[in-house]
Amino acid sequence: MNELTLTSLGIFSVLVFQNLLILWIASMLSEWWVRKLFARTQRRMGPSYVGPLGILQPFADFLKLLLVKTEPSYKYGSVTLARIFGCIGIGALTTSLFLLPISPVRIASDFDVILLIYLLGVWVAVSELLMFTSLTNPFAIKGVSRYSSILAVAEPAFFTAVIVPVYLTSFVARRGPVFSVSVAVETAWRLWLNPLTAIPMLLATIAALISIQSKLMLPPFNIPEAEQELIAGVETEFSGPLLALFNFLHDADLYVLSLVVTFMFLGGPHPFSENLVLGVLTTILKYLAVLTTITILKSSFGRFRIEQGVTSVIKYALIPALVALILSVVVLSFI
Amino acid sequence: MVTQLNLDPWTATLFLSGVLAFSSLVMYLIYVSLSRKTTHSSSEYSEPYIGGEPANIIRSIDVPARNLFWGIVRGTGRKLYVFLRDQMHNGVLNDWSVYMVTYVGLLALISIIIYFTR
Repeated sequence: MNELTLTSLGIFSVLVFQNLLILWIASMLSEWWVRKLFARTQRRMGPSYVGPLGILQPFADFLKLLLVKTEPSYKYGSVTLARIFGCIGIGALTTSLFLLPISPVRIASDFDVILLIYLLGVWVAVSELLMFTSLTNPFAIKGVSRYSSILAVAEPAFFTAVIVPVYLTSFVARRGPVFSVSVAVETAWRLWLNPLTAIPMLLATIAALISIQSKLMLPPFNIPEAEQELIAGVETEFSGPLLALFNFLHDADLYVLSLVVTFMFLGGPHPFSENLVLGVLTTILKYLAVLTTITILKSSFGRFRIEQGVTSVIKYALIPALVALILSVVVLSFI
Repeated sequence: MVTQLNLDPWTATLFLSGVLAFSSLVMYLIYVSLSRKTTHSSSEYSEPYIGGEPANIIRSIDVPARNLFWGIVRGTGRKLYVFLRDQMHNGVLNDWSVYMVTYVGLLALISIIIYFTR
């Protein structure tokens, strides 16, 4: 494949498939699934009016905020900065999709898991924090302080959990590239078949799900938003197009992090990797299972206080992830 | 059509950094071209929202940087927090990112050591 074709394919990937456009559509559909399921657990209808079963409601909400409402103008903050950091966060999520097997152009290299962590952990988290702090408000800053407290333990927990399948598959697959997301995606399912590797995988999966819950500020870790106590916490000053941008960033984060769990922990299309249709269906089912788990967790708990939230992430995400990593090292010495 | 590019780590980093810059720029251009700017001239729309009260009811609309991480302070160890804050952290977000990058670097170092000593 010559460079021109590759560049064209790369630009197509960024703009259309599997990136910005599909990212937007998939994020909105994920939001619909979570909202509908969450509403059903509370015996509410959830989105119902726009499209069949209300499936187009998140699209309508987004487009209304972006196209009809006006962007705010603040004396004590910079809307431009908030806008820039929101776009960088979405750019980082878009870029991370190049490392997963759903992009026409996939990137693989030795130790590329560090790039995934760099994009999802550093760029997205810092972009969100700076987006929040760009619009100064006492409630927003209070929310940011809570959010950064949770991130300080949730991010290391997520990184460590992600490293477990990558580390195990590097040795089990016995082929390059080493410590690579692509090898982990293709081989992760084999780890569940061996009881010795299944235990660290189970611990890492639980840790990843709980850290995702806290990174996304979903209940019970929604103390940074803390409606009624902090108005809307980190989102207090967001309105109109800026709120649409933040909602997109949040939903895209949910989509990409759930995809990471689907592919790197649950094996993606396996056991139908050879059949395109069945493989895609299996991946979608696993993805929905991840979203459903997140939604059930969301609907099962009330809001934790900040110290409860931090302690819970340490207990149920950071420590299991570290134990899983240590177990992986021990287990591999027996295999 | 699916193409997997097996690159060396340096080229992969450069490629993905380029994609990050390009996709962020595209997203920014889409956002700017579609969103509408405010036409309100009233100060009400440029003041921070403090439960409907005017901004001058509070001493400062900002919160001191040292108050970041107060959640950890109250819940999980004041002594440890004060030690960390005084020794290695001043509440600036840049320092937080340095801490995170250092942690990732430590994990990467452990991975490299394990890989070369297996």
